[in-house]
Amino acid sequence: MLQSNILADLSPGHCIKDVAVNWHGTKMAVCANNSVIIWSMNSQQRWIKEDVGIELDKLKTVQRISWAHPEFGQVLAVSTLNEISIWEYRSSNGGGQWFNRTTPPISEPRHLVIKDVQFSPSYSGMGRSRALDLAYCTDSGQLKILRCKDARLLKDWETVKEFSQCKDAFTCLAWNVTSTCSMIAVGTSESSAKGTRGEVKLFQFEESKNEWVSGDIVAKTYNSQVHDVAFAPNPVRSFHTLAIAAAELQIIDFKVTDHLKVKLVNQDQNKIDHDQNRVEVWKLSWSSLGTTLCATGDDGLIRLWKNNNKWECTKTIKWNGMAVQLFIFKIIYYEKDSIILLICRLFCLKN
Amino acid sequence: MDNYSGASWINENKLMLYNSSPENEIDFRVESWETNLDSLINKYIVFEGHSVFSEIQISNGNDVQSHSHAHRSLLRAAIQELGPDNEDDKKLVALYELVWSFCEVLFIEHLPGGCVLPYLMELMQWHFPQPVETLNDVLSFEEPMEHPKFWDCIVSLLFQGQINEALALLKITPDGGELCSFLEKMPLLNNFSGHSLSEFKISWSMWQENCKQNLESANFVLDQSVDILEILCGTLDAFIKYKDLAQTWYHLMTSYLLYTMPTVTVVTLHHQAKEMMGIYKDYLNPLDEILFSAMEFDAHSVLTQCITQFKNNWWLSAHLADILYHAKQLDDTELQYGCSLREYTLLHYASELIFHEDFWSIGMDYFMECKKLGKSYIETAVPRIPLENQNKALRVWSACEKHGLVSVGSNMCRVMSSAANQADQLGLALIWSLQAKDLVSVTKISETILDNYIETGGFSNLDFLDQLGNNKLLSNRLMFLGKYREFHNMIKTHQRNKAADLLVSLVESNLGPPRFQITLLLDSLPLINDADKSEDDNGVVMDSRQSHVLLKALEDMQIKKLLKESDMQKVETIRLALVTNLASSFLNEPW
Repeated sequence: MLQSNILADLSPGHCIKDVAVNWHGTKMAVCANNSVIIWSMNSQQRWIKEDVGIELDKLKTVQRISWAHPEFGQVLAVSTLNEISIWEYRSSNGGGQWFNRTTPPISEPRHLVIKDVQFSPSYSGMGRSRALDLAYCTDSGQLKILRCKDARLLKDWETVKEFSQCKDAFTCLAWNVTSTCSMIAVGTSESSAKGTRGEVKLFQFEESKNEWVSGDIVAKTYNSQVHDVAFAPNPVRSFHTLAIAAAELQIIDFKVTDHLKVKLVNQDQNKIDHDQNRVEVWKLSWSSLGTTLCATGDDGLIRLWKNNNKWECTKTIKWNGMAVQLFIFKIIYYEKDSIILLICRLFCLKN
Repeated sequence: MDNYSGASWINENKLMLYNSSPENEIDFRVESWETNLDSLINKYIVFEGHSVFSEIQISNGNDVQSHSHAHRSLLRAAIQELGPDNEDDKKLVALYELVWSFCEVLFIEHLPGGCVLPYLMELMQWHFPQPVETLNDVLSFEEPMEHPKFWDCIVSLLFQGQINEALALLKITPDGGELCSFLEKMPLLNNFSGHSLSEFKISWSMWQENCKQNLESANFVLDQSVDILEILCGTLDAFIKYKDLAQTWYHLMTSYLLYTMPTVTVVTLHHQAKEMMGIYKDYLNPLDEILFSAMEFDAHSVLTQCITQFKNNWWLSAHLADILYHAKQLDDTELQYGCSLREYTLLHYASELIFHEDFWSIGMDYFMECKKLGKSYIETAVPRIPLENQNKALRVWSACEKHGLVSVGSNMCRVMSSAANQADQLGLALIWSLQAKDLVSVTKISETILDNYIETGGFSNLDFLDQLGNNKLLSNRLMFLGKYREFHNMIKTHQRNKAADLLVSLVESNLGPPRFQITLLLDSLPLINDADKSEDDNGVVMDSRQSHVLLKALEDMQIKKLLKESDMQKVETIRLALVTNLASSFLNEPW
C-alpha cells in the first residue's frame, strides 16, 4: 500500500533545483530560486514547513545543497553557480536561525560552474580523524576536497586536494566512505561531433601515501553524459556497488586492486531488466540499507529497483498521472498569500 | 536539463520525490508504503512474535515444540481478534497460520508411531469450521432431513472424522440403522490407546472389509446412503464426487486417508498429496506449492516460496526459518546471499522493523541474532534512527550499550551533544560528550562554559556537575569546571576557609584556561574583604603562603602579558587586597 503526502509550494516562478534529506530523514532542504526552504517532520509524521530558512542574494540561484553528518550539528552547504556557502542552524529559547559561517574560496570562480557539492558522509581519509570534509566538482573538470579546520566554528576551510587536470566537464559526484576506504566517484560529460558521452572516474584516498589520488575509470556511458552517480550503502559487502544514471541505468559492483585498478565483479547478477530500462535516467537514490534503488526516468515514471539475481523493477510511481490522481481521497488546501500547501494522502498500488 | 526531477530516500519505506520545470508548477511529495506493520493486529503479532522468538533463543533449541505452539496460538488469537473490517489482514494472518500449522505437524511435532493423520484432522477441523456450523443449522430445522444441505452436512462431517456428529444425523434417515451400525464400529486412532499400532491396523482392516462386503449386498432406500457407505469403504470416486465439500486438495487428502490409510506416516504423505493435487489441478495457487514442499520435507523450498509469496511481509519467513533451524530441519550452510537462509530472512524482517517508530529496538534484537551480518546492518541502520527527543536518544543509547555496540553508541552521543550545543544547552552537550568519552569535545564545551561565565558571571543548568564523580577526571578542563563550581557552592554555604584553600589550589594547578586566572584572582576579593565578618578565630581567611601564591600568579600574568588593558584596574584592586591580607596574616601568624 502506498501513502503519499504531496507538499506543493506553488509560488509562481519558483524552480526546485535540488532537495536534500538529512541523515535521519527528519528534515529536508529544498532549493527554490535564491532561497532554501526547510521542511521538518513533526511527531505525527507530517511534514511542516519551518519558519526560518536560508535566503541568498536576489540575483543568485541555489543549485545544490548537502547536509553534513549530524555529529557536526545542522550544517548545510549551499552552492550557487560559482559560490559555496556554509550555513549552520543555531537555536536558543525556542527561536532559531541559520547563520552563514563562511564562503570557502573557489579557484577561478568566474570561469567555471559548480555542478555538485557534497559533504562526506562520515570521516574520510587522512587517518580518519573526526573532521568535516566537503567535495565539489565543476564543469571545467575540477574536483576539490576541502576540510574544515575547526568543525565547531565552521569558519576556516583548507584544501585537502585539488584535481584539475581533467579535460572533460564534471557533472556530479558521490562519496563512498567505509571502514576500510574513502573514495569519490565523479561523472563526466564529453561532447564531440559524434555526440555526448560520459565516464565515471574514481578518486581514492590512498592510506600508504596519506593522500587523495586519481584512480581508474569505473564505467562509460554512451549517447549521454552521466547525470547522477550513487554508491549503495554497503553493510558487509566486500565490494562497492555504484549506480549510474545516463541514457540508461547501469549498476555495477567493483573491487579496487592494490594498484588502484578497478575490477568489476558479479556482472551476471547486475543485469538490468531491459524492458524497464529504455528511457533516460536523471536522478538516483539508494534506500538506507542499500536494498532498493530509486531512479527517476525521462518518461515521468519513478522506478524502484531490487536485485533478485538481476535488477528488477519492483514498483513504478507515476508522476501527476491518472493512476495516482484517481486515488486521492483527501486534499487540504491551505491558502495564505501566494502559497498553497497541498497535502494529499493516497492509497494505491496495493502490493 | 530543463526538467528537474528526483527522489531521495528518507528511510527503507519512505521516499521523497520532487519535480520541477520552469513552465510547470512545482510539486514535491513524500511517498511511503506500508510495510504491513502499522495495523493494530500486526503490532500484536510483531510484539508477541518477538517475545516467543526471544524465548527460543534463550532456550537454544530446547522445547521447540511448545515454542512452535506459542507462535501458532498467537496467530490464532490474532485471527479471532480481527473483525470484519480487516478482511485483508485476516486473510493474510490466516495464511500464515495455515502454513505454520502444516510445517509444525510435518517438521516439528513428535508424532506417536509416525501417524500424522490425527494432527492433520485437527487442522482441518480448525480451518474448515463450516460442517459444524451447518450441523447446527440443520438441527435447528423442524424436519432436519428437509434441509437442503442435510446430506452435504453428513458427508462433510465424515470428511472431517466427526463421527458422533454424523451419527446424530444419520440416525434419522431411513437407512440410518444399518449405516450407523457400520459407523459406530469404526476403529479410531484417537480412541485406540492401550493397543499396539498393528492391532489397530488389523481391527481397522477387518472393519473396512466388513463394510465392503456389505456394500455389494446392501439394499438402501436412498442413493445417498450408498455414497456414505462408499466413503466408508474408501472408494475414490465417492470422494471426487463430493470434492467441492472438501474445498481444497489437502482437505480431501486428509479425508481420503482417514478411510484408506489411517496410519499413514509423514514419509509417504507426498505420494497422496501429488494424487490429490491432480484432482484440483485447475485451482492450484502458490500457497499449494508451499504446502506440497512441506509434505516433501523440503524446508528450504518452503521458505524460499514463502519469501516470494509474502513479498513485503517477512514475519512468517523469518520466524518459520528460525523455528525450523532450532528444530534442526534447516541447516546453517551459507547461501549466495553471504549468509544462511535463517539469517537472510531475519535480516530482512529486522530491516523492516528498524525504521519503524515502535519497533526499532525489536529490530535490533533480531539483527543481533544474525551472527554473521547482523552487526554490520546495525551499524548502518541504527545511526539513521531519528532521535526526536532526549528520551528516545537515551533509549537508543542504552540499547546500543546492551548489545555492546560501543562505536555506534558513542557516535550517537556525539550527534546528541552537537545538537544540544547548537541549541545552546551546554550542560546537556557536556553530558552527551562525556557519555561518548569524547575528550576533545568535553574540553571544548567546558571552555565555552567558562567563557560564558567570564561574559555573564553565571552558570546555567550545571547542577549535574555536582554528580559527576570520577567522570571529572576525564579532562583537566572539566575537572577545573567541577572544582570551580564546588568553590562557588562553598562560598554559598559559608565554608570560607575551605573555599580559600580550593581557590589557591586551583590557581596553583593551572588546570583552567590561562585567560581564566584573572577571574579566579577576582574571586579571592570577597574572601579577603569580608574576612572581618567571618566567624573564624583570627579573622583572616588566607594565610601568608596562600597570599604569596596568589600574588605570584598575578605577577606571572603580567610578565606573560596575559592581561588586557581593561583588566588593569582589576589588577590593582586585587594587588591591594592581597597585600593588605598578607600584612594582616603576618600579624596573626606565630613567628
